[in-house]
Parts: sequence; structure tokens; C-alpha cells
Amino acid sequence: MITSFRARLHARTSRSLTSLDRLGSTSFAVLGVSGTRVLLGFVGFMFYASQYADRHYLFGPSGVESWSRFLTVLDETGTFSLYAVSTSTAWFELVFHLGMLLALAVTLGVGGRPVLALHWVFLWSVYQRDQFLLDGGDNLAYLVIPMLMLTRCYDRLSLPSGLAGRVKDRLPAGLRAAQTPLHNLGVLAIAAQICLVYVTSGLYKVQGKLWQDGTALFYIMRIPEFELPGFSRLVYENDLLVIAGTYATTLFLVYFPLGVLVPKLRPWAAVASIGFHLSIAFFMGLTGFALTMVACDLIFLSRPLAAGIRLAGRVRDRVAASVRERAGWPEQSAVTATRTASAENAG
Amino acid sequence: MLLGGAALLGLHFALASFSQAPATPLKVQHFDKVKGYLNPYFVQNWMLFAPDPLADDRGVLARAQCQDGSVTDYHDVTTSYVRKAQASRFFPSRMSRLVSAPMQSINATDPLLDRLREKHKDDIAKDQKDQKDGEGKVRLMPEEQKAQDNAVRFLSRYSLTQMPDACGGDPQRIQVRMYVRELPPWSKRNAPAKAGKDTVQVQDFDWLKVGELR
Repeated sequence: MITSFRARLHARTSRSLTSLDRLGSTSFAVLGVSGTRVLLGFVGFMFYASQYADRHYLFGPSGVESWSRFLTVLDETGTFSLYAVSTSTAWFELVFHLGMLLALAVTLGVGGRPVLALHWVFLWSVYQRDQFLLDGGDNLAYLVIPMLMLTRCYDRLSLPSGLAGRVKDRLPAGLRAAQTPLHNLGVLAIAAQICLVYVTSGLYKVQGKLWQDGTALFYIMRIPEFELPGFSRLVYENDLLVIAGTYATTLFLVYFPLGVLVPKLRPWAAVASIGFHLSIAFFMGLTGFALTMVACDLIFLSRPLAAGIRLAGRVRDRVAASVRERAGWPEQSAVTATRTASAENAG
Repeated sequence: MLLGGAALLGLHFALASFSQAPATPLKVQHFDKVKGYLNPYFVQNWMLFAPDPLADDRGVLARAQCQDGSVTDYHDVTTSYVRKAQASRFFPSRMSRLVSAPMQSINATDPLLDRLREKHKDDIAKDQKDQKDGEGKVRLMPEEQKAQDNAVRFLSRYSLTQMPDACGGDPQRIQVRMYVRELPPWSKRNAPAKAGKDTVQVQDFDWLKVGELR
């Protein structure tokens, strides 16, 4: 009996050691975190772009938040902002536009993780200039970008950049070996963060009277700032939709971690979250917030994303082939053939 | 390395979760230490629309006092940006938050103190009756008062920029009025709307000198 126990114990340890080994040698969710990087970069870019016309009013040296108050808050928080360096308009324009370009570079996958770190510095700086503009999406963005820096989020969905590859080749072997475990830790951190977000917001909803009554959606969707005239009405005037929506929201948020822990449920939990946040974007106009949440959900969707990309590639090939046939164009030229081949290798 | 990293991550998320926990005795005792670790780059708040979401239409009006002592009408400095936000579904303008966010920090009193106030609300009401000018005003702790003052200053500055033509462009003082218009509750959702019968509460803040805001 003791021997069988010992054998079982041995089997179990060796099993957990194998899975630990896998965590040290296989990078998980590379495509997913690459998608996270693309979408987070895009949301950051749109933060600048959507306030572009109002940038002087919101972030400039003589902006709506007074300069002295801006400096006081920085001091009280014990942090920095590049916007605080100088009161010159030229400096402000430089920092704002550089920040915008960095966000674009992150979206396109140019420059690798050093550019991602710089993007964080610029984004943090602009957030500090006018804190009243911020929401949970911005909060999540500044938490997740450093975690993303641990991951191999430039391995996919990025423009090929010779420089990054060359830098990578020059890295000492020890550092290169550390890449995979670091990557997996980064993915794990993002997963834990998003679970903390959902569970916290879910558990506080459980305590709310309107959420318990099942009428919270009715009240929230009528607040002018979060209403979409003509459409929100269709939901909040429908009793069934209000109550089902309120309860579905709370249940989804509270049980999200369980959905993520069970591999079979994982993509479905992520898809539910994406649907939930896209409807927040549509009805409540919180595009940046919603897409930031969606970006983090992508880490659970590597496999479906890969399938989607393969499908898109097949559709594109088929369309291209039929177009060629109809128009009587010649077969693929040697140049495009190599380009396709290298793109497939990179994928 | 993997195990060490995982342990560090576990510790980090334990502290982050602790910062999000309700006000337990443990949190009252240790929160300052945890805040010391999380501030400023790991600060987070995930009480999104919870536990009690906003349920009404709130905003800010402002009026100015001119050099000759006359006082302008109230300007609506809220609605135009709310309309602007409603008009787009693709990264709409965030300008409306310049009103809603400071208003939230005016109303965001300390949760522990709120509990005490709720518990002793009869005493507080009696206390207020004895005061002459303290009608309906909650007395705030210094920290809360500071946050409120800052928010009011911000709103006044913002309002000034939104009414450039007031007093021919040269107002001397400005006053901010916060309004809360109650929307019909669920139980009356099908009742016919009564025009002009809305319940509106207002709170007027102190006049501020324009020269000190600029």
C-alpha cells in the first residue's frame, strides 16, 4: 500500500515537473498577446487622435487643468510627466506628436519592446496631464503594458523589422533562454489582472441594490452621458432585456475566472467578454474602455485567432485566384510568391 | 526562475486584490502600507458602476458676476459635450468627462465616514438644525473638503472657458451650481411624462474670484 502511494506520488511529481518544464520551454499564447499589443497600441493612438483638435485645451501648457495644480498633483502622487518639463508650446507639441507616433509604432509592431516601454512613458505622461478624462480602460492599459513587455508580443502581427531581429540574435544565450519563462509569466500576469478586474467589479455589483433588483441596466442606460439616443431605449424599455442583461453581467463577471481555468470553456468566456464589451462600446460610447478589455481577452484566443487568420488567408487566395482567372492575369510572379512564402513562415 | 517569478506575481496580485477588498478591519489596519507599494504605477479601481451606479442626470451650470456688480444668467456648460459624446460611437470626445469626473469626486466621500454618518444621521440632522447657515450641508473631514475644493475650482475654471462672452469677456467672479435631475424610477417607467414636474436638486458652491483661477 505504501509502495503504491509512493508510486502515485512519484507519478504526480513527475507530471507536474513535466508541465513546469513545458512552461519553461514552450511560449503560450504568442498570437494572443501580439493581438493584445496591436489593439492596446491602437486604443492608445486613438486616445491622442480623438482629442487631437482639443489637445491644447486638454493637455497644453495653458490647458483647462491649471499648470500649478498639475505640478502639485504630480508632486503629491510622487510621479513624473513629460508634459511638466516645460511650459513651451513647442515642447508640448513635440511630446504629444511623439506620443502619437509611438502608439502607432506599437500598433504596427515597429521597434520592439523598447518602443513599447517608451509608449508607456508617453501615455502615462499624457494621462497625468488631465486625470479627469481617464476611465478604467486607461487604468488597465497602464497596468498591462509593463506586463506585455515581458512577453514575446512582437513575434506575430508585426511589420518585419530587421533591426529587432538583429538585436535579438546578439542577445546573450542566458537572456535568450530566459525569454520563454518570462513570456509565460507575462501572459499569466495579464490573465490574473483581467480576472481581478472582472471579479472585483462583479462582486461589488452583487452588493448593489439595483444590481440585485435586476434593474441596474435600466438606470445606467438612461444616464445622458452613456445613452445612445434611439437605441438605448430599445433595451431599457424592455423588461426582460433589462433584467436578463443585469443578471448576465454580474454572473459573467463573477464566474469569469472559472471560465478561464477550464480549458474547454476558455475561448467561450473570452468570446462572451468580447460581446459584452462591444455592446458597452456601442450603447455607452466607451470605445476606448471596451477595446482595452477586448485586447486583454485576446490572450485567451490564440487558437481561434490562428484559425481565423488561416481562413482569411485561404479566402484571400481563392478570391485572388478567381479574379486572375476571370481577368486572364498571369500566374503569381516570382516576387509575390516569395513574399507570400516568407509571410507564411513568419506566421 | 519560473517559480521565483510566479511567487513574485502571486505576491503582487495578493496586494493588488487587497487594495480592492471591502473595508474589513484588516484593510483599515494595513491599507496604508499596501498603498505605499502600489502607488502610483499599480493603483487600480475596479468598482465599475458598482455597487450603486449613477442613476440620474447630473451636470453643472455656471454664472458670472461682472465689474458693475450685475450677475449673468446661468450658462449650461454641460449639455453640449454630452450631445457630442452621444453623436459618435467611435472613440467619442471625452470632453463631457470634464464635468462628470470632478462632480464624482465632489460626491465621493470617504466610505468609512459615510457609514458613521449613516449611523448617526439623526444626531447630524439635529446638529444641522441648530446651526444657522448649515442647512442641508454635510460637514466634511479636511481631506474630503480639500478634494471638494479642488474639484469646484476645476469646474469654475472649466466653466469660465465655456462662457467666453459673459460680462463682455471680463467676468470678475464665477459661481458653479451642481444639479441632479432625478429620472423616473423603474416603478414609474410606464407613467406618462409630466412636463416640468421633474425633481431637481441643486447645490451652489462659493463664488470664486476669476483672477485667482487663471
